Amino acid sequence: MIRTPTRVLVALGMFGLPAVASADDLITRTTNNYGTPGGLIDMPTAEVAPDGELTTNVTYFDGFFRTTLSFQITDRLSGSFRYAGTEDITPQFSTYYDRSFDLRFRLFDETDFTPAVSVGLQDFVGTGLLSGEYIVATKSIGDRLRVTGGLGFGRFGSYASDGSFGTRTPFSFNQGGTGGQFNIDDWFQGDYAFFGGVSYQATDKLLLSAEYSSDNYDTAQSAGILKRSIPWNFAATYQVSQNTSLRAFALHGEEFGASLTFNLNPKNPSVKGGTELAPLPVAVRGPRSAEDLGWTTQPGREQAITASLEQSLQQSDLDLEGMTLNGRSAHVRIRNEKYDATSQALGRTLRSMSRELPPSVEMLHVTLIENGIPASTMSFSRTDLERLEHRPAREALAAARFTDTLRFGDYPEPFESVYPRFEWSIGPYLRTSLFDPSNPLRADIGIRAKAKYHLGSGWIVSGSLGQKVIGNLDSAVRPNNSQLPQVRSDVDRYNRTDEPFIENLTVAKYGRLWPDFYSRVTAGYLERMYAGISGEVLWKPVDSRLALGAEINYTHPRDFDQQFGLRSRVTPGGTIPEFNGHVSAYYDFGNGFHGQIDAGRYLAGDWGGTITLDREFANGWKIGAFATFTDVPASQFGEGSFDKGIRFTVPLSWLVGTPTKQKASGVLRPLTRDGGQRLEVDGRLYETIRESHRPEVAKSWGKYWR
Amino acid sequence: MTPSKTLLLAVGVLTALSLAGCTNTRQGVSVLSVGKTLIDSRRAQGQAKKEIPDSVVQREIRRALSSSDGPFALMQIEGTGSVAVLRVIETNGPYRTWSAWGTSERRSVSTRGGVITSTRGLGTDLMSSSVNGLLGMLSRRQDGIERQVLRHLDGENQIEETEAYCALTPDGRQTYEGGALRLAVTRIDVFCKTDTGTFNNYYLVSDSGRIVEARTWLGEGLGYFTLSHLR
Repeated sequence: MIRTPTRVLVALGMFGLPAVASADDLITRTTNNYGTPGGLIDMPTAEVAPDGELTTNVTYFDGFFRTTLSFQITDRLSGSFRYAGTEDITPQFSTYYDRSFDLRFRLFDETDFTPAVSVGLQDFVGTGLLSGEYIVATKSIGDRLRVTGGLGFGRFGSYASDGSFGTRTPFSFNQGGTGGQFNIDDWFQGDYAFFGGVSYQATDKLLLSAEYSSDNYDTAQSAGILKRSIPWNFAATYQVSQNTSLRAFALHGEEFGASLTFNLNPKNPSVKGGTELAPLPVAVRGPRSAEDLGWTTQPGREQAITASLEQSLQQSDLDLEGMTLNGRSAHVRIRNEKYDATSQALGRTLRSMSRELPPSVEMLHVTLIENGIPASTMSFSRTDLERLEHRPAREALAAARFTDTLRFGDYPEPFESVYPRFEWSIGPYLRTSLFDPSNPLRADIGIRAKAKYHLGSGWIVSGSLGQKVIGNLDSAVRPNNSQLPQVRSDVDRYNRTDEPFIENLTVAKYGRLWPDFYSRVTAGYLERMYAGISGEVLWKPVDSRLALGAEINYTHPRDFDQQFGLRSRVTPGGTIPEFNGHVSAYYDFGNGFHGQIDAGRYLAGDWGGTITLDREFANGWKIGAFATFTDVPASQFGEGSFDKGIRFTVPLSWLVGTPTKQKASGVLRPLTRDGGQRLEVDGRLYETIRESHRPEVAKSWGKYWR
Repeated sequence: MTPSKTLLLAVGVLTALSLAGCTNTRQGVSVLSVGKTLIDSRRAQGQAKKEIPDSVVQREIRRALSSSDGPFALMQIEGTGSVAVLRVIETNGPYRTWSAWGTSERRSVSTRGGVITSTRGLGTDLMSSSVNGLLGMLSRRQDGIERQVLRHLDGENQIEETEAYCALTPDGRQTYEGGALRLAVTRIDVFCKTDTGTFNNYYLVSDSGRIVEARTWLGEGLGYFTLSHLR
């Protein structure tokens, strides 16, 4: 007989076996000189970055710089946005700036005997200086060596071409187009060539790479700014810290350069689960205590309970706005300004209720209030609360019931102390203008004061006042040659004010029309460029992943000084119409992707639609792209052909490690023209109520007991 | 400055500047507080482990025990060197929730059968665990293999389960002295294996089957905690 510990170890060894054979599936956190995931230099590989990874790469060598933002959209698909500048490549500009988008898709994963295979498009919308397509295979040999071989077209087929398919429009600075076209006819056409390379992980921190490049740098060579003696490139990449790596490289035996890569993954917050203090423990009722209804006959008891519950919720930074209490159930009206994970606000509310309410109260109902209107009602039995406190969170999700508040029936009236309520904040602001060829980055920094006055249920007066302190946005003097009503392209003139300006000053009324329906009317100075009235209706059942909305706006352009005056609708490009509006569909695919389609009339009177796709992380990160196609022809739209861009939202809780609803959001457009522009009104309904609905609450349900 | 450098700088500044400076709402996370958080976390990384003299600990234990008749326990966190005397603040069936005695600080741990099953307010908290089978075997001082599950939140606030297979080995008798307790116990070493690593717990179990001290691993972030019961 084997001695006990040995027997145990043998058994454990068997358990351990499956863990040994874990493959890393050709994942890399390095990027190449075009900022796309991969361990080679100019050439692509079939490697992928970890899911969700964001990388920023800056590459420089004599006269060439590229800044690329890449995002691993899914575990197979990555996208990149690049801003590249080349000095003296064309006599038209001292530095030629170019924006480009890439996509790469992993077709096959690596197996023991076959390589991973990816297909990619580089610079597939735009003016095409960097355009190229490829199919590439990468195989790992052991843990440290990766070998890549591929077939490239366009730039990747320009050196020592092995053959040709069809025809490809050659790149020219004078093609006279407006850019922004999908060059589908040219994809995988023209000369093709083979390329390849190896990368070797010499130490944990050092990666060595060598490649045979099929990029001939045709345009640069003919402009005489780059020489190409040999087809070989070499690089050494050093991981400076967990999220930073530095690379030195040699190109074609002639050029030396360096690049810097920053990695960031939305899945890695500063502290997993957060550092906020502990919630109150659930108080468990004694056996048979639930039968005692004596308290209901005590005068003043209800007021005392309300006061102590309010105080308990205050400790968790939650506001009790109202309560109805009877012998067997309690219904509270809660305003959550703190917890970005709504489940956590609900969990903490119920914990407080368990401690403060008399034992006979069995059903607990929580109505969440957003902008003064009920957004959802969640019901939880107190017995379940006591029973599930130490159980896995999913069991509590199964026990929670979400109802549309209007369908639920009555909900508590607000206490008299709730309205009116005044809120204010003062802080800095930053406003940028990117990608202007004469100065790719301009910015203003200033100070901004915001105030909100909640008059009553759903009535909000709000305003935002700004004052520029320093900046150079006013130095932009681009001639405005727009052939459309100038609805956005006059931005330079709005930036030129040195006086205090009113960003917005509105009165809004939020309301509930019927169950599942929400409404908003906003009037006043809606945004920095427009005043008017905006009305919106949204249909969104509380457990639905689909929402439908409609918005109609009457707008009038504001004076450039952004004070109280208005200006004429007539612009050199045409008259700005009075009405615009959209119907919208929002759908949460449930797999981390969210889609939105808006169709209607845009500010310049153009008709069309916007399609938006976001990758949404359950912790609040959102990264997405949008494109708008309207009846404005590309020639009339001007450079860029149609409106498009990428947008992101970063939850501050991710950065600071404690709950906050604050987030930083931004939109990055290669260009802003007048076609396909929407009104930017604050407080649109979907984002206002969505966080309180079941699909969103369920996503971060892990925080319910936190 | 090259345009590219400027661009990068902008990304950093952009996040900072979208915050409010000061406000009367609960949403307020000010620029300053973000800066402070970042500095604090940097500082915490370089911090040396605290050394608390045993005499101080013993004095606190005596003071706690004389303050009330309730249960007390001593918690030691290996990673930070923190030591705290805990008292029970709530009971839910077989679970007890403990918090530091003598402070109103809202950080807590919950136990079942004398073993920590969850933490709150410590960062990278252990949300819940399944240890029933293990507790049964421990109280019978059996050897064998048992499964336990630890649940944490991942970076997207999803529950992440760590399943561990644990081998229990009774490992000799000794005397346990802690606070008001002095009794003969059996030490049981528990060696656990997860998909990604291993950990070593031990438990001191009295003849009546009560776990009076347990050193348990609570996850990557928290590390080892030792909970010694004092009454």
